[in-house]
Amino acid sequence: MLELHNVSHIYPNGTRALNGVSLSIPRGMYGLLGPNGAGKSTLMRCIATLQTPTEGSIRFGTTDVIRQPDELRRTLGYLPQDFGVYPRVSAYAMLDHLAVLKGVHATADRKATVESLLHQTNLWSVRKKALSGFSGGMRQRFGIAQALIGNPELIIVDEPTAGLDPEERNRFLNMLAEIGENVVVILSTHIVDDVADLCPRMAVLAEGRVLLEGAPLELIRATRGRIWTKAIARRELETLREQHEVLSTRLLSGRTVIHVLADRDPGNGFTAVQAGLEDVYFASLAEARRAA
Amino acid sequence: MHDTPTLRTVVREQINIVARSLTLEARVVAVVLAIVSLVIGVEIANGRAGPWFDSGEWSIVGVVALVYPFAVWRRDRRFGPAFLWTLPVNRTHLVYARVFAGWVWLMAALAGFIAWKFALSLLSGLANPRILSPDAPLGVTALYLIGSAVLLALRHPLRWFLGAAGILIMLGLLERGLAAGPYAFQVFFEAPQLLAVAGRSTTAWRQLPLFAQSTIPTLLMLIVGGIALWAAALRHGENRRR
Repeated sequence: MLELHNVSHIYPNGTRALNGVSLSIPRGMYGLLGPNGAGKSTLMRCIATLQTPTEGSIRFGTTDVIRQPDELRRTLGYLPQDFGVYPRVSAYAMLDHLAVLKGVHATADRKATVESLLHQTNLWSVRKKALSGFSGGMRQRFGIAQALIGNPELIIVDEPTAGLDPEERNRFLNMLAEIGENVVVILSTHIVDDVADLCPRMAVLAEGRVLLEGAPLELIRATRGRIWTKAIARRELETLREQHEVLSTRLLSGRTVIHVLADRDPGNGFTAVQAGLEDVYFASLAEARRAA
Repeated sequence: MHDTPTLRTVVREQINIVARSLTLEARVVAVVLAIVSLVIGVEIANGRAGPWFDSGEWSIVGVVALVYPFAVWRRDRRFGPAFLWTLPVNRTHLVYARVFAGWVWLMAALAGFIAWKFALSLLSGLANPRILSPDAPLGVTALYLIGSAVLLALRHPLRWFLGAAGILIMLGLLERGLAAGPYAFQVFFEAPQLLAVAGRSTTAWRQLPLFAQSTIPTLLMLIVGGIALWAAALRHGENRRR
């Protein structure tokens, strides 16, 4: 279990990136949703021992992450948004190098680990290719391979599916789901579908604060009866925005379909709709905006 | 749970990975040396190879040693939340190990360069070719340490390099503009007191053995480089709230 208690972080320029974040993250996949600039990456970096929060505590099992970063690093697998190291080195050589630095000393163990991970991430055929020649999807798969070296107990993946095509994304998410059965995996993303597909628990973060926390199905259930939909002409959108809390708009067969948040039937042709996680997410952001 | 790798393991790995990441630079150097070898070969055939063996290229070697750390650390995020810092390796050890690995390959390149010049000098048949100043490895090491320290101490070392070069050029232009007027730098440098001190120092310096005249400044540079690197590495230590 990963426990964050009242974690805040203020950058030297005065920006408050995290504001009293408290979370309990159990074993399994945990989704962290939030718009750009919500503080997700700062939180990921604090948990991954790359930044020290200005306030609060983080514990992983019996390890105090802030006071014993080296202890956590021994159990950590981290996939950052960008790890631009040694672009000209081949995937095999780089994995082998990282395996040594992660403490997989015995040559036979290391060979078995590296080869197994290359097969698992479907990179075996390109193992001799330099990392600089990898596509976005291959890089992400390499990233997850390096994060899995040494059987970590805590895995942090920061925006892992950004820039992947649908097939790559699907393959990547399946891989994460397999891994997430036995360890704590934190998936930070702004793609709602990734969390909806994978995570039994999640939190929504915005402006450095936790807006919502729980199981996606429970959160969806809690929004039941508050999401309304209507197909409209494009020109009506601005007027409706002034009258209602519009959560999302999408095009369907040339018509604009909007979802609005309202405690009662807004009338005017709106019908109640079964909420999805995206509605929950946008509703929480809208409520936070309103509260501010 | 991962073990923590020993310093020896980290150093060995850095030597290995730095070599792999410098393959392009090594190929470029090999091509340049092949072309220069061809040119020198033609000069040897024409009996004009002498100027190639007067050790004049050491200033180029020095500049290479100074900027070589940029190749060693290229694409690495040296500051901020760098990915490598999530590994169970002491940050400062990793910094020193990388600098050491770069130095190992620099010395290997220097040895290769000397061997190359020595082989060419044998082919040229010159009686006393000057290939190596005995303290060249120390000088190259000192410049490499200073270059590494600059790279590790400053977030934007290129800007500092360019800024320093700009200031020197401006001072040069200022000096030219002031010419021989009362505020010219020349007036300061040619002040009788300063000239007297400089004269005494020069006389004392010239009385030292030739070897000492070259080795003392090199050793001083080496010490400065070592201290600068130590100070720069302090920036990369673990900085935790206690």
